[in-house]
Order: sequence, then structure tokens, then C-alpha cells
Amino acid sequence: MRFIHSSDWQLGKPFGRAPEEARAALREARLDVIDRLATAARDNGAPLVLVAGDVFDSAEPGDRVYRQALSRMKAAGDVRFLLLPGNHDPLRADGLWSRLAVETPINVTALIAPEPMDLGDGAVLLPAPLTHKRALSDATQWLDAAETPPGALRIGLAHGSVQTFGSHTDTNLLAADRARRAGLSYLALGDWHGRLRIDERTYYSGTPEPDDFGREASGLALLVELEGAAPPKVTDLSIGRHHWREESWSLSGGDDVPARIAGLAPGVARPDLVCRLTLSGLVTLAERVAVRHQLEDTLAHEIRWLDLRADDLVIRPTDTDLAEIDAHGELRVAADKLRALSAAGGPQARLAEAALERLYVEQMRAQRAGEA
Amino acid sequence: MRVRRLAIENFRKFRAPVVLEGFTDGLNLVCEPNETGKSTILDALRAVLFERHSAKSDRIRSFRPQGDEVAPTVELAFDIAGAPWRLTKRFLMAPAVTLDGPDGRFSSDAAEEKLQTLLGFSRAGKSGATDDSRGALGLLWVEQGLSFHLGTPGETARRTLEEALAGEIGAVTGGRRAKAVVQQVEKSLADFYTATGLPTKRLQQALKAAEAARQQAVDRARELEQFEGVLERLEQKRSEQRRLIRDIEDPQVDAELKALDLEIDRARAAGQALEIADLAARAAGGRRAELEQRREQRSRLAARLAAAEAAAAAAREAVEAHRQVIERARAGQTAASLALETARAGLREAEAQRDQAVAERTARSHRAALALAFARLDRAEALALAIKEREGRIAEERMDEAAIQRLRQLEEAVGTARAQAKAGAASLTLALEAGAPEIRLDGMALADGATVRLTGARVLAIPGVGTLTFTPPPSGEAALARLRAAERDLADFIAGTGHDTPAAAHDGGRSRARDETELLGLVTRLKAETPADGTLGIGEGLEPLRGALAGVPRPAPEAKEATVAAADPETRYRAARTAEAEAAARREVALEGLKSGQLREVALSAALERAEAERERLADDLAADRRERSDADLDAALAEAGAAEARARVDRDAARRAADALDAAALARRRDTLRRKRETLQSQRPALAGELARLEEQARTLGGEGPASRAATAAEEADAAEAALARVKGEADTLALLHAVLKEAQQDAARRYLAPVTQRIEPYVRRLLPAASLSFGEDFRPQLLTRGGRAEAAELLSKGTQEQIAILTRLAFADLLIDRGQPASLVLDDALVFADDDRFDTMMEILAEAAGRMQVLILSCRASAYRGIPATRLSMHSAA
Repeated sequence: MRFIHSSDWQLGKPFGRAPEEARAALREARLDVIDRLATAARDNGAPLVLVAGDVFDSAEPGDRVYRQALSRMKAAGDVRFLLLPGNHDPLRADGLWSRLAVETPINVTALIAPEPMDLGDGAVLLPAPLTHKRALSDATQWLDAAETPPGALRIGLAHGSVQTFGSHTDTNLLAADRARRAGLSYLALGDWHGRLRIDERTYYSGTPEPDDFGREASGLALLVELEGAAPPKVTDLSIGRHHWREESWSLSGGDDVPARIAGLAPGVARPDLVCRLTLSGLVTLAERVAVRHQLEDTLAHEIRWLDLRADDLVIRPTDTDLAEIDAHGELRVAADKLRALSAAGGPQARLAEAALERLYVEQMRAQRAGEA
Repeated sequence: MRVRRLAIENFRKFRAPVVLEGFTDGLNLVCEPNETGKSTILDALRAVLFERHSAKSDRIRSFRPQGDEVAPTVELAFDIAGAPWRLTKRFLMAPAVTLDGPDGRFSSDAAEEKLQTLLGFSRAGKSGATDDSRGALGLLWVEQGLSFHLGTPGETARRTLEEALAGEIGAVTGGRRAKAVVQQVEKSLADFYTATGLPTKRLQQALKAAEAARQQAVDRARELEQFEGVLERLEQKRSEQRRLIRDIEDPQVDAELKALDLEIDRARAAGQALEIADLAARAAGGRRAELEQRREQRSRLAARLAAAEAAAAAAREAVEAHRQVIERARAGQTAASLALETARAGLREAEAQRDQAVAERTARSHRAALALAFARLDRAEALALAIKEREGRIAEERMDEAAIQRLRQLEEAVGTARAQAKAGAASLTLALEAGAPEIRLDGMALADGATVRLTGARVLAIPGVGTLTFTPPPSGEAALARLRAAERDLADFIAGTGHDTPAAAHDGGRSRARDETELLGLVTRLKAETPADGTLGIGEGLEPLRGALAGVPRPAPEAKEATVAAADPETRYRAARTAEAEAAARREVALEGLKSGQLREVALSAALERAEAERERLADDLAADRRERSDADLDAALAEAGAAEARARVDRDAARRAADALDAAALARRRDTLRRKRETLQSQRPALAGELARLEEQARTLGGEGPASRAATAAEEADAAEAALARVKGEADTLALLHAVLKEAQQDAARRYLAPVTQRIEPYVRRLLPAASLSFGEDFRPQLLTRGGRAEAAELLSKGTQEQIAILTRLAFADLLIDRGQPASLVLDDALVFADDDRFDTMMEILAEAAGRMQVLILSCRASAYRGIPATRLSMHSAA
């Protein structure tokens, strides 16, 4: 028995905070996952994809989104897709799943009932669909008592967290030892966007296409091989396209910024990189301007989305910086004033610093124009 | 620069050549009335210097005198730095320029260029010289009406001034680069804020975008909420529908309805049973009452029979008793008849004796007769009184003979009718021959002459003959009617007699009969007392007696013996008569008594008959009733009926209890309520189904648009727009700050490089406005006047002060230029018109002092104002 375990496709995720030009690509990439999963399934001789919830990003992603998804799955007619409603796309009357049901191609099944489903090869799937965004009861409860033919491979499919976080009541909580309790050969879980092994028979596949910073081991799907009572053999398959990297650079002057840029995310194609870069440190005016130029005018255009956070890169203008603005005269007077303001602290300081940077940039621009 | 001589020809109003000359180095005054061409002097001065000779602009054409096609020509002689120059310009027709100076003669464009360099102005444009082109001299040569203008000096003039201030400016400004930076910053800032600090362009766009995104997010969130609401309602309605169907198909209600139907049937049956039991109870009660009534009737009948028997016995007794009375009356009557016979015989004897004696006594008897007559009268009078009394009584009593007769008839009729009514009234009277056998009636021997009334079937047995059976005819209704009629007739009659009862009537009748009898006696006696007296010739009766004796003296009584002897036969006779009359009356009374006894006998017999008849009838009735049902039977039937009634009542009460326990109306109400409730529920179904369909459709339509996705997208985009706005706002604020700082730096610089001007003007200003100081903008424009620590914007000062400051500023500029070796002079055309006397004088003093350093030309029409001014007075004169 071989199959692909995936989850958290979150189709239709808007990426509204990303810049306009990145949004469409990020959205499209999530749909592309379907094609890539189909290919991976074929390549690994496991034409069955179990999606452990959150197929869609929201309970109502709109007809367009689910139709596009269905048409991609339909195109991969030799692969079976079994979709489980999760907390993002919970099952509810007259909602998404009701509408989708009438349009599903034959190789796609929405698992909308907590009842055993014969997968063939002596395997039985025990799905635990979620009916609410925040369920307080464990949807996998029924698996313990679920009846299956003797000797069948019991495969659980569920969505939720196996661990409580924070002080408030957590929802969608699953028993961490459900696989043992329910005598499951394998429990395929979704919800966490990073791949995670809970025990030898319980895994989170993570999202096949990363969708945010700070996820470890995401962009994967799991190839699961079951053979009798032996523990499953689980293999990571790389599916995702985009790599979301969060970087923090502390600069102190004299840094080789171009080299750092070159060394960013090695092995990742520039267009597939999404990067949040947080700059900090104390630099001269000239350095800050130079760094920003290098990042904003080069790197930002090369990669999918550069989320640059340079607020903590504090300027300490040197006399040289000020001399570059002017030795004397009005500009110098203004520069001195701004330096004094920025040094004084308070709400105006940050603005004064920015104004000084702007003055520096404008002055250079005027100089270049004058030289030209 | 010092002007020396000005010659004008064909220029405005000066067609013929005129000359103004005699200029001194100091203060020169041209004081002319209006319309004499004073201002034309300044125009000509400016034209010859700043307008190009070759120009053909409208302004140049306006130099021509009105309507003349001539060539305006101006000739000017002036000194610069002590060197004399001579300039001639001819416009429009054969235009030409010549400039003669220490370096030789220049003409045409060379002359123009030389002049520009010499005086520091720019080449005039196509439409003629402007404030910008005229340079410093243009600034210092103030036209009429413009002296109070505080404007920025023109471009060329500013350059000249800046050059004059070159040392200072170089040190404090950033030069052209700084200007470019400031301009760029201003330009950039203009992308965010308007000059008045309102958001514009990028900032406005960002604000609008953020606002739009926020609104969009709110709208989307509301849409999502609406969609969620639809789903929720849908769920609600589904549950409602499930509940409704469950309620409609509730088996409990079905069972209850069925049970209610059964109960209602039972209740109805119980109601009918009650009605039937009630009827039965009533029937049993009626039967018992009927029997009771019958028993009561029977006992009443028996009582009446007993009474009738008693009455019959009494009547029989009365008849028996009365028979003896009759016997006595009959005997009495016989005795009376005998006594009458005897009395009549005695009377007849006495009469004979009396007649015999009469003759003997006739003589004496007359007297005696008279005396007797008187005696008779006395007695007659007493009798008459008694008669009258009886007659009165008789008249009052209505029961006369006839009435008694009638009463008897009526009583008899009643008796007869009663007897007839009872059984008919056959009577049997026996009259037997001597030796006749004993005849028995119903076994009882009948005496001869007996009368038997036949009131029932009677058997008369005659020995040797056989029996005779009498069967009376059946009594009928007619007999009864007759009886009642007879009784009513009797009652009516009694009422008419004035008596209460027949007995009283009879008493009345008897008393009347007595009175009549006595009356008869009295009348007889009266008659007897008043016989006709042949002796005395007195007629019979009281009246003739009274009449005969009236007036007749009563005779004295006669001797006794004679009387006795004479009286004996008479006495005897009278006694016999009396006795006979008495005996006759007695017989009469005895006859009467017999008669009434006989009547009474009849009445009693009738009464007896009636009583017998009544008794017979009642006995028959009772016997008949008992024949029909014996007393024992009746009692048994009554007991049975009572028991039946009691049973019927018990049954009825049980039925009532049963009916009461099952209230059919209440059950029907309960059933109807259940049915109505179910119908109401049924009626809700279609609406609910419609609502569901509508909501389903809504959910489908709304859901198809992906409300959750849209809401999430809109929310994120709103955040992004907000972040973008913050960035734009940050940039705008940065630029605003930079701009402000730069402006401040510029002003600081201006203050510093304008210090020479400020220093120069300060003494003048202080003379005019004590303790005041004036500051300039970097564009050389007076900006603020500070007095007593209070700053006022220059353009807000009074017109007069503005003009004075403008003139002083020009004076300071001129001083600056002269200090830097630049040509400068001051021309004022009709200036200081707004100055008060003190300020005017002060200004004049300042100008006079300045005239020590530069040439000053004042053009004015106000001769009196300038009268006391120490100045060189010039006037136009013809060139000739």
C-alpha cells in the first residue's frame, strides 16, 4: 500500500500583504502544487493522494478557485485525490463542500462523512472531517471504535493540533496517541505547515507549497508505504516551488553587502525566493544609502518578494557624510540641524534621520546632474 | 551715475524738441503741474536706456505723439564714475543709436551692448523692457504710482544686488547645487502636500487608496457576515422544518386524536343513555302517581258512600217521625170540624132566643144600643189598630201562599229530579183486596197501601202468582241536567224570597200564615164589633159607626136588672157566635196544619229518595271500581310501581354520573385544538419550504463569489494599503521636515548675506519709526517690520509706511551699489503722496542726505510740498 500524504494546500490564499506583482505568482504556485503532486504520485507508483485538510484557504474561496483546483485534478485522471475538510474549509451545510460535491470528477472524493472507506489493497481509510473552524471535541474520537475487516490496514486522516499552545482553550485538538489507540497503521495529519513526525505512525506532511515565513521543513509531501504490521516507511518528496526565508543582517559598516546578497539562499532560484530581510546596526549615511540601493534596486527586483525591514538600521552620520552634503552653506546648515534633531531622540529623531538620508540622496542626485 | 541733460523730440506730448538740463549731483526737483509731461521725462529716460532702438513693440509705438508717423528721439548726456557719456536713440523710423563715451563712439547693437554692460541691465525682450531686464536702475527709477510697491526686485536687479553682496552670499548659501536640492525637495514635496499643507497627489492617492481598501474590507466583511448569516438562517430553517415535520407527524398526537374520537363517541352514547333512563324514571313515576291517585279516589268514593248511607238513614228516620205528626193533625182536624158543628148549633139556638128578646127590648134597647155602639166603637178602634199591625207584617213577608206553594213545587222538583237522576223514579203502590195473599218485595212483606219506590232491580213476589221483576230505566244525563236546573231554580227562588234557606222561607211562610189567620180573626172581630145597627140606623162597618156616633152623646148606663134581663139572650147569642167563629178558625188552622204536614211528608220522602239514590250510585261506583281492581291488587300494583320508580331513578343517576364523567364538549374542544394546531403547522410548511429555497439560492449565489476569500483578501489589502499609506506618509513627513529645515537654513543665510542692506536701511527706518527694525527675505523683499518686539508682515503695514519703506529700501540698495562702485541714482515720480507732514519732512531729510552720495531726481506736481526743499529746480524748455 503506497500513497502520498499531503495537507494544507490552502488554495485561494490571497497574499494581500505581498506587493501586487508577487500576489498572482504566489497564488498560482499553490494551484501548481496539484500538478506536481500528481507527477510525484505517478513517479512513485502511488496514485493516491490523501489531503489532510485545509485544501482551501477559506470556507468560501469562491467557485473560481475550486473549479480551477478540480480541473487540475481532473487532468490528472490516473491519480485519486481524497480531500478532507479542515479548519480553514470546514464542512458545513450549503457551504463550499456541498457546491463542490456536484462537480467533483470521478478521481476526486470529498471526505465529508466520518465513516470507513475502502481504499482497496486491504486498506481502509478513516477520515475525520472538521465541521467547524474551531471544534472543541476530537474529531478522531470515532476512529477507536471504527469497525474494519480483520487484518485491514487502518489509515487515519485528520486535521488539527496534537498539542496545546498558550493559555486559552485550544481547539481542533487531537489525541497525540490516536494512532496507537485506534490501532492505525498510519495517521495522516494536517494543520501544521511544517513537516513533523509525532510518532512512527503519525505524521504532519506540512504544506506542499510554503506560504509564510518561519516554517521549518515545508514544501514537502510524504510518500507513505505500508506493509503489514511493520511501521510505515515515510519518504519526503520535495514539491514546493517558493522558499520563504527570513534573514536578519546586523551591519556595522565595512560589510561586504554584495557578497551577502550573493550568498543569500544558495541553491534557490532567485524568482522562487521570498525573503524577509531585517537590517539592524549602526552605519554611516553613505553606507545606509549604499545598502538600500543594493537591496532595493537590485535584489528586490531579482527575487519574488523582498520584504525589507530597515528601520533598525540606524544611521550615525559622520562628518564625512555631512561634508559630502556640503562643506558650508544652507545644505550644511540643514544637515547639521537634522543631525542634531536625530541625535536628540524623540519622535522627530526617526523622521530627522530619514530627512537627512533624503537630503544626502538629493544632494548626490543634484551633484550628478551638475556633473553630467 | 549722474544725468546731465535730456533732450526729447517727437516723444509723446513733446512733438517739438524740448530740453531738460542743469542737473546737479545732488537733489534735483522737477516741479510741474499735471499734464505738463513730467512723467514723460522718466519714460524718455527709461526708453533711451532700456528699450532697443530697433524695437517696434506697442510700447515703442506708444512713444509717438498721437497720430504722427514720426520717429521718437531721445538724447541723454550722463556721467559715470566722472566720465561723460552721450546717448542718442531714434525709434521706429530709421531707428538708430549712438553712444559716445571715453572709449569712443558705439552705434547700433554694439552701442546697446555697451550700454547694458555699463549700467548692468539685460537686453529687452520682444515686447520691450521689463522689471527683470531693466536691472538695478529700473528698480531705483520709480515710476508714478509704483513707489510704494514692495515687490521682489527683478531678475537682473537681483543679480546686480547679489553681485554687490557677493562676498557674503558666497559664504552663506550653497550656491546653485543648494538651490537645485531645495527645488527638488520642493518638487518632491509637492507630490504629497499642497503649498498650504493639504494632502495632494501621492499622499492623497495613498489616503484614498487606504480609505477605499478599508471601506472595501468593511464591505467584504459585511458580505461575509451576510453570507454566514444566510448559512446560519438556512441551518435554522432546516431545523425548523425538521421540527415542524416531526410535530406534524407526531404519533403521540395521532394517538391522542384517536383516543379523543373514541372518548367523544362514548360520551355521546352516555348522553343518550341518560336521556333514556330519565324518560324511564319519569314514566315509572307517572305510573306510581296514577295508581296513588286511583287509590285516593277510591277512598274518597268510600267516604262519600258512607256519608250517603248516613244521609239516607237520617231521611228515613225523618219520614217515619213525620208520619205521626200527620196522624195527629188529621185527628185534630176531625175534632175541630165536630166542634164547629156544635158551635153552629149553639149559635142558631142563641139567635132564636135573641130575636125573641129583641122585640121586648126595642125601646130600651135603643139607648142600650147606643151605649153598646159606643162600646163597640171603642173595641173596634182597638181591633183596627191590631189589624193594621198584622197587615204591616204580612205585607213585609213575601212568603205568601203562592210562594210557599212555589217553594214546595221547587223542592219537590228537586227531589223528583234527584230521584229520577238516580234511578228513575218508579213507585209501586199496593191496594190489596181483602184476603189477598202476602206480597213480598225482595223478601220483605209489603203492607196494604204501601208505596215503594223502585230504585233498583226489585223482585215482587206474589204467592200463587209468581214474581214480578222491576228494572228501572238507566238514569241519564238528561235527568242530571234536570236535577241541576231544579236545584238552581230552587236557589234562585230562595234568593228572591229574602230568606237564606228554604227552612227560613218555610218559617217565614208559617209566620205569615199565622198572621193572616190572626188578621182574619181580628177582621172578623172588627166586623163583629161594627155590625149594621138597625136600631140606630147605623150602617155596617167601622166608618159608619164612627160617623153615626160622631157628635152623639154617650148615654148614661141603665138600671142593672133591666140590663141583666135584657142582656142574657144577647150575651148568649154573642158567645155562641164567638164560639162558632173560634171553632171555625180552629178548624181552619187544623186544616192548614194537616195540609202543611202533608207537604212536608212529600218533601221528606223526596229527600229520602234522593239520599237512597245517591247511596246506591256511590255503592255501584265503588263496587264497579273494586270489580275492576281489588284493593289488594291496587296496593300490590302501587308497591310494584314505587319499586319500579326507585329502580328507574337509580338507573338514571348512574347514567347521569356516567355522562358527567365524559364531557363530550370538552373532549371535542381538545380534539379541535389538536387538529387546528396540526393544520396551523401544516400551513407553515409551504412558506418554510419557500424560505429554504430562497436561502439555498442565496447561499449558492453568495458562496460562489467566495465571500470568505474576498473578505480575507480585502482585509489583507486594507492592511497593505495602510502600510503603504504609512510609508507614503513617512516619506511626505520626511520631505516636509527636510523642506522646513532647508527653508529655515535659507532664511538664516539670507539674513546673513543681506546684513549689509539691513545695516544700511536700519538708521533710516529708525529715523522714521523709532526702535523699529526691518528684515528681508532671501529674495531682497522687505519681510518683517519689528517694533517693540512685535513683528508685522511688511505687506500688511499701511500704504504710507509701505511706500516709505519701499523708498528707503531703494535708497539702501542704491547706497550698496554706489559702495560697490556700481552706477546708481534715484528717480521718484510723484512719490510720498501718502506721507503725513512729519514723515514727509523726515523722508526729505533722508533724501537730502542721500543726495550727498548720489544724484536724486524728484518729479512732482505738488509745488507747495517741495517749496522749502533745498534742491536744484529744473524745468523743461524748448530746444530752440
